[in-house]
Amino acid sequence: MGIILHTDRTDLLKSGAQPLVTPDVLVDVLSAASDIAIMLSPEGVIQSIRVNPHHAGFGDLRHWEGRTINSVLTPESIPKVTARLAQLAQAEIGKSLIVEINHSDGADWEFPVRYSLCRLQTGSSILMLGRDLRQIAEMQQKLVAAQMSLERDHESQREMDTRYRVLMEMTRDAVVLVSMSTGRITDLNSSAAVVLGGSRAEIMGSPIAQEFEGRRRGEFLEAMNTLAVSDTAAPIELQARRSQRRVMVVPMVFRAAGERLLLCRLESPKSVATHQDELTENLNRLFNDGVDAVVFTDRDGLVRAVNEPFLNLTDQSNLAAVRGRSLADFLVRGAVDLKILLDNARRAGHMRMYSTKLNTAFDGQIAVEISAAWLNDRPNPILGLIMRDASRVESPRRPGFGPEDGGASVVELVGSSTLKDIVAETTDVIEKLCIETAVELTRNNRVAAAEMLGLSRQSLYVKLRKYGLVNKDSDDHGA
Amino acid sequence: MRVTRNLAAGTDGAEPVVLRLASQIVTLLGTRPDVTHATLRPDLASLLEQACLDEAPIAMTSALACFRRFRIGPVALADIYIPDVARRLGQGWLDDRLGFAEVSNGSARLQTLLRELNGRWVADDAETPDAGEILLVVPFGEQHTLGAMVAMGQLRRLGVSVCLRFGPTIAELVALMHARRFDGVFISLSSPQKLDSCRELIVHLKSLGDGVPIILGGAVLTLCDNALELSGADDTTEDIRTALSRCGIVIDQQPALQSA
Repeated sequence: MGIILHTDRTDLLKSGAQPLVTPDVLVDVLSAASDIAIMLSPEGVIQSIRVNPHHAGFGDLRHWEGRTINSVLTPESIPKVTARLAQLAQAEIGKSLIVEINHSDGADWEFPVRYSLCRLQTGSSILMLGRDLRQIAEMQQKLVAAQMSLERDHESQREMDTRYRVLMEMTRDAVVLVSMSTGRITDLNSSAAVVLGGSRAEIMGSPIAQEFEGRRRGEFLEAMNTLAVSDTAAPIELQARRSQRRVMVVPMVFRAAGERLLLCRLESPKSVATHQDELTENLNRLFNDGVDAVVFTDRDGLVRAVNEPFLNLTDQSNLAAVRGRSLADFLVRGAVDLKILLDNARRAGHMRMYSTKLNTAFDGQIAVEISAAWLNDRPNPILGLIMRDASRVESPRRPGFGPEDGGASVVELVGSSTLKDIVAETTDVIEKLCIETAVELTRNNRVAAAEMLGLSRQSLYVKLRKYGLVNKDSDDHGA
Repeated sequence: MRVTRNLAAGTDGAEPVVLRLASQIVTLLGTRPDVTHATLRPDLASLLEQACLDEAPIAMTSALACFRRFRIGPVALADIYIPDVARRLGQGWLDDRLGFAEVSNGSARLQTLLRELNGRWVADDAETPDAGEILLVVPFGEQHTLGAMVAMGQLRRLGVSVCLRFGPTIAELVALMHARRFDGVFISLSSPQKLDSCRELIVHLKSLGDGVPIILGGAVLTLCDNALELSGADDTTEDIRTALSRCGIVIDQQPALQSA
């Protein structure tokens, strides 16, 4: 029958009388039960060593006899054995401890063994019964190698992926990839998103047929497929549903990894092109001859282009004096104004009716109302601003924010934090923002800022400290 | 009261400004990852450790759900928790609390998790400003790759383009150095035993004479007092910003999390 699997020590020997074995037999039994058996003196010297005769591979290790155990261990294993032996000295007789170590014998030969350590009598030698872990070690090596090769593949895929993405974004061609089996858009570049009239995220995954007026899915794909295999057919002209623009669709069908894909290049028909040119020309004239100041900055707010009215408003002599400078230089609240404009425009796409003042070249200030648009239909988004002189009709509008767009994020927040936490964090953010604004508005006059906020000077000071708004140079002012 | 009244006075009869302000702020909070939990919570680290040792994939899924509940985002997970759990696993082996099969499996799971997190970070984009190119090398024979992966994630989040090579031959590296122009070479090493072969590698790289700084980092710095002399590297540090500044790359902005 099978093997008795009692783990209780007494159970193992219960079936028969207490066996009387000679030391020789005991040694044979022990060495057969483990892969490697060592008898260690209390001083840590290997008194005897036996390798399981059925377990090939270690070879003869008898030359270890008489050496200290530390001399056959790898450096990181020595403290482990030392610690375990010290523990064993404190433990009761017969109790065993486990230690996993690496043996080293000679320069290159290392092998891992899992030992059970057991002291047979007080102050006596220690019996070490070891299990060869080389097979596990080999598996581990394979795992590490597999992981590294996975990372390598991952890296090269990443490189290709980056090239693909950059190519898609940089090309002026509007390109859409469609899965032939589902008819859904699997990828498109920003140029294509502009042509179709939505954001890339909106359009991604939607059925291609729905993006064009009066087209059903089956019919559309069929037409594209026919067109793609034909040598002579001209591209089809379609009207994009969102943008209402007319586009020529040039299809190509190809297969990748077992999937049939449709690559569509969207081109402008000639009429659209002329229309575009006319619009471009008109926009140019409006920019140059219009009455409102127009400014374009890069994503960090560095000025790229301004028109004549802006130079007039700010008393700047020429474009060269403005280009490359941060827009914050011209705004009365500097970086605070710029940050509000950039953040809101970036988040909502636009911001309207932001009231602030512009600094002029001769230390003057002029009230303006700014509307901003985030033009991100390109790899390097641009902030477009229109500024209207508001000095004559000083409007009651206060500095504020554009339309809200917080719905989705609120949903995300609720459920991931408690109401108490949300309120506490919101309060902190509001406080900090308001205090920053008050300090800016009062040019760091603490008395005025405190009054503006309806706070005592002391509590304003506490809050300034709390939000890290106290800096060295302004520390002594105000109070 | 005065503040509220002023703000709520509104502009053109639309919603009171304070409501919009609060909504904006809640939006801000919702999109702000990680900033609140920059310090390690031992209970969560221990939870992640248990999940790494558990054979059932569900353990990891529920541990990650727990991290999300505490609003601990991918950056903190990659930079703080994963390295800590890796150290815990290593210590577990030293204490004979864990067998090395368990440690191997556990760190493989950690590495998988890290790979998934690292996928989110893009630095080689046309959009990011040029913040330098770094060659990151795990020398041949070095088994510990997790540290290099963590460093790679950090570099990418700082906008640095990283070329990662595991166990390359010297010829391969020399060819790479000839073909491209790197601002620095970072070597990630754990085992002091590999310092000799690492030195050989560094000698070869230096013999190219292009003066590209070679910085050594990794657990070897804590395991060996004179890693700098033994390796022949130009400098040793475990801090990625310090390493970058040695290569003349100064990054002052906060690490930005970008979605791929």
